[in-house]
Amino acid sequence: MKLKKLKNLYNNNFGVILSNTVRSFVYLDNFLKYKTIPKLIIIYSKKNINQKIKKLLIKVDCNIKIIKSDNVNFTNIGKIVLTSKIDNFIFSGYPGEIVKNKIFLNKINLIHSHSGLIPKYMGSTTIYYSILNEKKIHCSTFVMNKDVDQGTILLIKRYNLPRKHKVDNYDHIIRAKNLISLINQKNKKLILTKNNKKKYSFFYKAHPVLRNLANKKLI
Amino acid sequence: MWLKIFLNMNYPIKIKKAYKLKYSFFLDNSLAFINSFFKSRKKLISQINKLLIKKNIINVKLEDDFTFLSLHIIYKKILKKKKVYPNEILFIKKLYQKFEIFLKLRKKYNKKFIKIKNSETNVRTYILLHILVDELNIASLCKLNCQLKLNDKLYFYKLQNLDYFFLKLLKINITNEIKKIKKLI
Repeated sequence: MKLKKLKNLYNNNFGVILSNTVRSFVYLDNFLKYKTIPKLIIIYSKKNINQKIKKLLIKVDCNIKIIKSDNVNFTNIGKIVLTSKIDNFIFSGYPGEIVKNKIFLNKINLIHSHSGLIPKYMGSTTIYYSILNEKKIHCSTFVMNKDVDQGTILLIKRYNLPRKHKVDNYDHIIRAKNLISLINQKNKKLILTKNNKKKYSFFYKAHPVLRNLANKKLI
Repeated sequence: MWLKIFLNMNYPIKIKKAYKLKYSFFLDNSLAFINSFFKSRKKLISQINKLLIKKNIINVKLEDDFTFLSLHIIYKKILKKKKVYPNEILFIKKLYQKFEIFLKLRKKYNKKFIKIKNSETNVRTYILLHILVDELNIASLCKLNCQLKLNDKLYFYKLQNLDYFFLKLLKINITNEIKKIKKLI
């Protein structure tokens, strides 16, 4: 039922839930660059908001709410989401954060971008593993459910290997680009994958040596 | 000479910092980092070689370390080429998952795999897990990732406290790890 609300996902008619991280900065920067402007921005952080993000927020013409919490499941965020009456929210959380709030899982479409081909590359820092394994980079955008990196896939795109950027920065950029492509896509389709998730491994945080080698593969 | 010593020590110092942050927010793309990784691992091997000559016999009480004892039984089975049951493979997988998340294992877990004892298992468990991870049906990069982290744990322990058998296993583990990394380059 809630997937039907995806037809309401278009420019100026979506919300964004952001953590106080570099990824959130890259998202905002790209949204401004490609003139894809949200209706509402919710930023949650116990610490002061990063100066770079603050500067971008001044430029964005939309409602902004700042919540003093490091947990997306904090009830106040859920209440703001419900009262906004926006059906689709983009999510950029803190590393390792798991969404448990039922409002996000059942009432709205919480959309997340993952820098890996789902379900083959599920887990953390999959961009490094994918470079090491097959020298390819994919980005998958999906509606989140209770399981990590699983849900209804909306868009999968393959990207060129980075030349100018380091892998870490490129990871954020391709996620933002994928989200912008999805928002501006006219006919949004659900991508059906075979239910063979058990066949694939779950990737944990890549060791610094593997990260170093992945960066070397690009030279 | 001091520069040489610094380069040799570079990897253990950096990795101890990365370990404290559970390997988050750490990125070193320099060639010096990879070189210092190889140097420090080779240094470990030479340390092990010296200890192997001494043939130390160490008596450590491990009766209360159920995690180690269970892994040891499975390891013995594999060594004797006996059949390993699915529940034993599942046990290794659970330990692998626990280690990847918390970077340390406890002495005892219950059936739901929640820790019963708060004290950390002994270093021998990590050496055995390094070998047994290869038995899992997961991607080879996942195995290597875990094995790199397992070998990093050695920088927190004194090798002198290990007996001959485990020192030998450790030497094989490090040699295999280096081979796998070299294949990726």
